[in-house]
Amino acid sequence: MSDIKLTSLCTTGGCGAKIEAGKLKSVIQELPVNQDERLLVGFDYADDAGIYQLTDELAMIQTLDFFPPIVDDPYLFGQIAAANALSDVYAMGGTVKTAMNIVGFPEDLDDDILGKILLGGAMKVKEAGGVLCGGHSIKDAEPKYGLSVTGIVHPEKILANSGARPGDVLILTKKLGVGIVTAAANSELDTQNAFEEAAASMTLLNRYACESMNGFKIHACTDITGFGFLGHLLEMVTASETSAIIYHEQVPYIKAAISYAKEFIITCAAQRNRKYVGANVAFTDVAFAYQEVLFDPQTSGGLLISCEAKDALALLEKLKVKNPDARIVGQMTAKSEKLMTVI
Amino acid sequence: MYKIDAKGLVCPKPVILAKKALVQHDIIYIEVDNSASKENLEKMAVVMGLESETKSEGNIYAITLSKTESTKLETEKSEAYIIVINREFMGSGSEELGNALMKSFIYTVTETEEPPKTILFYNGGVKLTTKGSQVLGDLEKLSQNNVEILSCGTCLNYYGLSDALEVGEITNMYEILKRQQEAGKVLYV
Repeated sequence: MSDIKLTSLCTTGGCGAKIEAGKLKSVIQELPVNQDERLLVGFDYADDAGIYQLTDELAMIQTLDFFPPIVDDPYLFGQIAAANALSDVYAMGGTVKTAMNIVGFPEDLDDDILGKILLGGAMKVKEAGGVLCGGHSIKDAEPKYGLSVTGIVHPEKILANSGARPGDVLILTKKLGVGIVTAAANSELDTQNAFEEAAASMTLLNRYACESMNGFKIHACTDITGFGFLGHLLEMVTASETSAIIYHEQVPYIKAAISYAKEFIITCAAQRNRKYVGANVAFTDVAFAYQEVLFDPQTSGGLLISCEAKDALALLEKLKVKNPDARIVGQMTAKSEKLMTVI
Repeated sequence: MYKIDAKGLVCPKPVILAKKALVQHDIIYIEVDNSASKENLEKMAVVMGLESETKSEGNIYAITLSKTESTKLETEKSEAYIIVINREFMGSGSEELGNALMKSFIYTVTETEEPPKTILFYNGGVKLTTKGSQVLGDLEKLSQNNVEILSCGTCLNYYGLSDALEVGEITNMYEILKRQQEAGKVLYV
C-alpha cells in the first residue's frame, strides 16, 4: 500500500466537517414541507434520522452520514464512518436492516485504499446485524465515505430528541474528546498517545447501548456527534421544552483531551459549536479546558439518554457491560431562563 | 514583533503556532483567514491573560497578541517542571518507610494530570531505574507517556549498574545541568 496520509487530503475530517447548525437551520427552513401524517419524525426538531410509519406496528428509520477521513488508516476510517452512520438508527431506538455505501474517491489514489475503507465499513454493518446492499461512488478530490442506513422500530418505541421530562436523569455512554485527540494526532501533537483510546471509542457501535435501554422508561435519546455534547443537549432541551443541569466533573472525558485543550489544541468546529450554543449555556466555575471538550465535535460519539430517575442506576449498570465509560452526567429540570447550566 | 502567516491553516494549527511563538516573544502578530481561528486565538488570549487586538479586512484577520507584565510572570511559572531524585529512599529516617514513600510518590506522579517533563535520577536514585527496582512498572508507564527518564551514567558505573538500566536513557552532567536550567520548576525528592 502507498504511504499516503488520508487526512492530509482533506481540510476538515469527521463530523467536524459538518455545516454549522445555525446555518443549516436557516436553509432548511426554506424547504417546502410535504405534509404526511405517517412521517413521524422529520427535520422539525433536528432529530438524528427520519421515521416513516408503514403499519401500526412498524416504522422505517432512514438516515445518511458521510465525511472525509478523520484518521490515516483506511480500514479504521471505514469502521468509524460506518459506526457513526449506523448510530443514528440506534439513537432512535431502532434495529439496523440494510445499508448502502456512499463513496467519493480521488482518481489517482490506490484502489487498495478504497478496498480497505469499504471492508472496514462492511465489517461494522455486519456487526450491526445489517445487510450491505449496494452503494454509489463518485470521483472526488477529497475522499469521503459513509452509509445510507435503513432500520426499523415499533412506532410506540421511538426514542426522539423530544420527550425528556423535568426530573429525568441524563446518562452519557461514551467519553468526550475524540475531536481534540484526533486533531492532536493529525498535527503530530498527540504526546500522550491517546489516539488508540479515541479510535476504540469511535468504532464501538451504539447498538449495545441501544439494546441496554430495552425495558427501561427512556424519555429521550440522541447521539453525540458534530455539534458536540452541548450542541446536541441544546437540541434535546429545545425539543423537550426543558432545561438541563450538567455536573461537569461527572462527565466522562478522554483525559488527554483535557490536557490538550489546556495547551490550546482546540478545533474550529468546537468554536462554531460554542457560537451556535451561545448564551443558552451558563458555566459556573468550569475551567476553559472542560468547556472546550463539552463543545468538542464527536465522531461516532455516545448516546445521551434522558430516563426516569428511578431507572437510572439499573440502566447504568446494564450499559456499563459494553460501555464501561457510561456515566450519569446531569438531570433535566423545568424549563428556566437558561436552557443549560454546567456546574 | 514576531509575525506569523497562518492563512490557509485550520485549527488547531494557528493557535499552536501562536502559543509556541509566545514562549520566545512578548508580542506576536498573526494572520488567519477564517473566523473560527480568529475566535480561538482571541479565546486563548483571554485564558492566558494576553492583550489582543484584531483587525479584519475581508476574510483576513490580523491579530496582535501581547503579554502584560503579569502574564510574563505567569508563562514563566507555568512552564514544564522536572523532578530530581538523588536517592533510593524518600526522606531521611527509616529506610523501610522511605522505600514505601518512594513507591507511592512515583505512583502518584503517574496519576497526576500534569506530569513532569523529565525525571532525573542521580547517585542512589539510579537504583530505581535499574534491575530489581520496585517502581519499574510506573516509570515505564511515565516513559510511554513521554516523560523523559534520565539516569546519571557516572552513578550507574559507580554502583556497577551500567548494564542493568531497565527504563529511560543514560545521561551526563552537562545534560543534568541543562535540564535543571531550562525547567520552569525543579522538584527535589
